[in-house]
Amino acid sequence: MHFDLTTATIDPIPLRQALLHQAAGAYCSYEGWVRDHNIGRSVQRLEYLAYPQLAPAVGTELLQEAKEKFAIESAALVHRIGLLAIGDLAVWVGVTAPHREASFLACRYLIDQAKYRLPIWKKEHYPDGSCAWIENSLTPSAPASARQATT
Amino acid sequence: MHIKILYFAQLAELAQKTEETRSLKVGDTVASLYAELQQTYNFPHELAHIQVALNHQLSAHQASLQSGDTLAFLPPMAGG
Repeated sequence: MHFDLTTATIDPIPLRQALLHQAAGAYCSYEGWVRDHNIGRSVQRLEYLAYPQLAPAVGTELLQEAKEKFAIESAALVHRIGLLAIGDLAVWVGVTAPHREASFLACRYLIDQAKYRLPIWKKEHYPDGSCAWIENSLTPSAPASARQATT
Repeated sequence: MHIKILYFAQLAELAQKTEETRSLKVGDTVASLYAELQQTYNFPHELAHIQVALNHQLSAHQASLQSGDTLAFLPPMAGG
């Protein structure tokens, strides 16, 4: 189980490699990328801010929860902070499990929980120079189609 | 008696600082401190929508405060 906050570019290849296990027949990952729009407005870049003394404890707790809820082998979650450009990888989740269903469910669980429970905040920067903090105001149990999160 | 307060994201922008030390009066609570700060800095969130961390651990709004504590007010999070 591995959680990390990083200001560096996230490289999924070594993260995936670290999850390899002979007991795992399934691997599922999620990549959240910075896109160029949100709720009908062009976005030029995103800025992520974390509470560094708290985020690792919460991230580790999420991973432990996933381990307890689903029949998985291992999981990892990495979130980037700082100023990100369009197309940058902002968050990466990887899960291994003996079978695919648990890997899908745990991966989904981790990214959904991360959006609302990790002490990380996101600011959108717009082409006109203005910016705004974005809130993931809906609960994790809300239907995915109802969410308006940025990644 | 004093307490260190941490602000993040929109709260930090409105307060124009990321932290400050304030005096702690007998009987002060998380709610009374937040109400005071909300008025001072025009924080838009009700306390019900704010999480708090006491000494860098998530904490209940009812937590008791002591001199020397670090109290963080966390607006709705937005990872991912």
